[in-house]
Amino acid sequence: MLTILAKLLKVLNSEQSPGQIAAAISLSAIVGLTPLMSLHNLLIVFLVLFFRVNLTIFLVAWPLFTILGMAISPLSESVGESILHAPALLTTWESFYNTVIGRWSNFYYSGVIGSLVIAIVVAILGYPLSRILVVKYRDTWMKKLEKLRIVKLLSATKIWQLYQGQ
Amino acid sequence: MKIIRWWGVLAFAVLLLLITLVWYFLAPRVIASSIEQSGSEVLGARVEIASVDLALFPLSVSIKGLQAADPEEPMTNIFESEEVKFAIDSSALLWKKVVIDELTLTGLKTGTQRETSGALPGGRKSSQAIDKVVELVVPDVANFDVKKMVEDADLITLKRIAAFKESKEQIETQWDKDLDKEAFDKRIEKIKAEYKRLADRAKDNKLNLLKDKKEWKALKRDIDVERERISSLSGKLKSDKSSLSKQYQSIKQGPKDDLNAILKNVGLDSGVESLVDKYIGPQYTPYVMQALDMIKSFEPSSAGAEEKEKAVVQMGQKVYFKDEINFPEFLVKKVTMGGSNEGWNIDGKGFDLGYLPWLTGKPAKLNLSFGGKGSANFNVESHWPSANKMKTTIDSKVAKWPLESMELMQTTDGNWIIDSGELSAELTGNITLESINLSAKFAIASPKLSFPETLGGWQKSLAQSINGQSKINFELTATGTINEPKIRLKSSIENLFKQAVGEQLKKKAEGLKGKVNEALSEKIGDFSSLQNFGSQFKEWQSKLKANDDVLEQLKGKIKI
Repeated sequence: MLTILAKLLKVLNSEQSPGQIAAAISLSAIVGLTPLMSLHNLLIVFLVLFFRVNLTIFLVAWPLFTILGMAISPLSESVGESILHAPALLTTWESFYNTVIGRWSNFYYSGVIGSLVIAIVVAILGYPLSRILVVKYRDTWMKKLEKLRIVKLLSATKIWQLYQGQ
Repeated sequence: MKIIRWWGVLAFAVLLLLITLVWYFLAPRVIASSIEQSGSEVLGARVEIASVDLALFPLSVSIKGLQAADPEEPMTNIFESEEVKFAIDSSALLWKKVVIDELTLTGLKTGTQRETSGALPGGRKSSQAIDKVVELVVPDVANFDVKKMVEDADLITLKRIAAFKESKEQIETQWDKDLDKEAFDKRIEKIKAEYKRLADRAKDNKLNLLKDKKEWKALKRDIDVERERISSLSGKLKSDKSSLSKQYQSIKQGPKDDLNAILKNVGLDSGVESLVDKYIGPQYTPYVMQALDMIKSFEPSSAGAEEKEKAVVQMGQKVYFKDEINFPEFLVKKVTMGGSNEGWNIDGKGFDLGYLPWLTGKPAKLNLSFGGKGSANFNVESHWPSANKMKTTIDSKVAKWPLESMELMQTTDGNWIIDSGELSAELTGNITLESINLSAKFAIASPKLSFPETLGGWQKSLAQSINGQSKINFELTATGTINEPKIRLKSSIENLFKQAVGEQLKKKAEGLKGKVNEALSEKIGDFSSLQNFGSQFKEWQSKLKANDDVLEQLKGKIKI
């Protein structure tokens, strides 16, 4: 736990751009909130690796979003059902279902499409929000945080030294 | 700042490769495990696979050493196959559908011995349907505690007597009200007084007859009203009497009904006939119920547009859209099977076996032929034109198949096995989602039965008489609907059963009947006094008549 916290603080305090960190949070929301074994997650993983998205933040945020995804699973399913049964979208879904990608996308499962829609909303809103928060943290909160006893204790540990040394 | 991480592409490629390798090495295990698990669940006994080989180009699977244990005899395999081989159509796989052009089963054997038990610990995960063992013990009539049987019985006669008494009481109270003498007398007195006044006036002066014409008419109307009232009470009296009379008749029938109800608990309500249903019938019908349950499991839950899938947590409900790829998610276009065992061989073919079946667009067919010692053909054709329409036709025949060891019955004393004989059978009929119409006829010529040595009495007689028969027949018919099938079993064993238990049991049953009757009479008591309710009605009737006579006389005297 301390290791994770140390990693997190290191990234937040590092020279990594707020955009890279915010992108990691946004993309991890999609992977975490939706069922892992979905075709779209392969694309997300590719994006994470291809673009300079912060991997540490991505790997830390992913399990947190997974827990959240399990908690909101009933909501995802009901959102998905409404989307799949919407008369206006029926033709679109039908055409998509009859494509190879549509077949492997699993979008015809209420849980998949519902959670994906929620995840995309979270990702879109989450990107600017987390970007602002990272900037705000670096400008004002970081100094206050460094004065906290727990952080001082943490910075005296071997793990912290190890990360500082890297 | 560079936004692209080129080594990320390489990392992604490595990740994909790793996923593919893991899948490739794990797939055979996954296939074997899913066949073993689902097969065991369906069969109710262990289904095991020795190995699964997966080839990628072309995509094909070879399952070696498939064996399925007999749920009834766990140390024996119901069937065994050396190899099951099939190639999967890659183009269909692209559409997430498994289409097998030809599935071949070779080296099929049945009844092979197993090294370990094939019983499922704890039975199926889903409910284990039927307890097949029948306790073939006809009630020992002599040992019944008749007094207790009658004591514990909730007698209908007593209930009917109570209801009769309550009705009688209600009727009496009502009639006391309706025939209130004081009120009636008052009304009659009033009429009489009015008559006297008008008659006196007429006596004084004849012209008063004309003057009082209106009052005479009013008097006549009053008399008519009173007489109508009496007439309607007479009608009510008759209906009350008839109602009580019916109730009394049902009380008289009560002891018989009670006797039947008590005897029904021991299977003697219809004599030996009902014993046949109780002790022989259930032995065979469970198989039919199992088969029907299997068909029921195919029934679509709704119009076929949606289906719940419990696949993975979070995946949710699967919604089916119109599928333009015209084949089902799982389809075996052709199945061939072959094999032989000592003295027999099997040759089978199947076509268009698919799930969901209505998506195949063609009828599924399965033809199995057994040859060697005898001959047997099993032909099943199932056509699902749509999710809500199905017709399955069965036409199977077995001709002179020599039996070596066929279980006839499982009883608590042990199994009844036909050691030798010749089986002929015919199973024909059809099943739709609305109705069933199946007929199965079995005949075993020259049956030689071995039975538990501990048998005695009528059971031994029955077993011995089976051995003495040149042929035993069973005829099973299933009609009605899948949800409420009506199954009827006729068998020559029934007659043997009746003979074995019949005469002896009939005598004992008659004795028992007498004893139960005595105990019933004692508990119910004498209810003959209840029939005297008629005298009360006579009294009421005569009262009504007397009143009516008075009014009639008065009316007769009025000349206007």
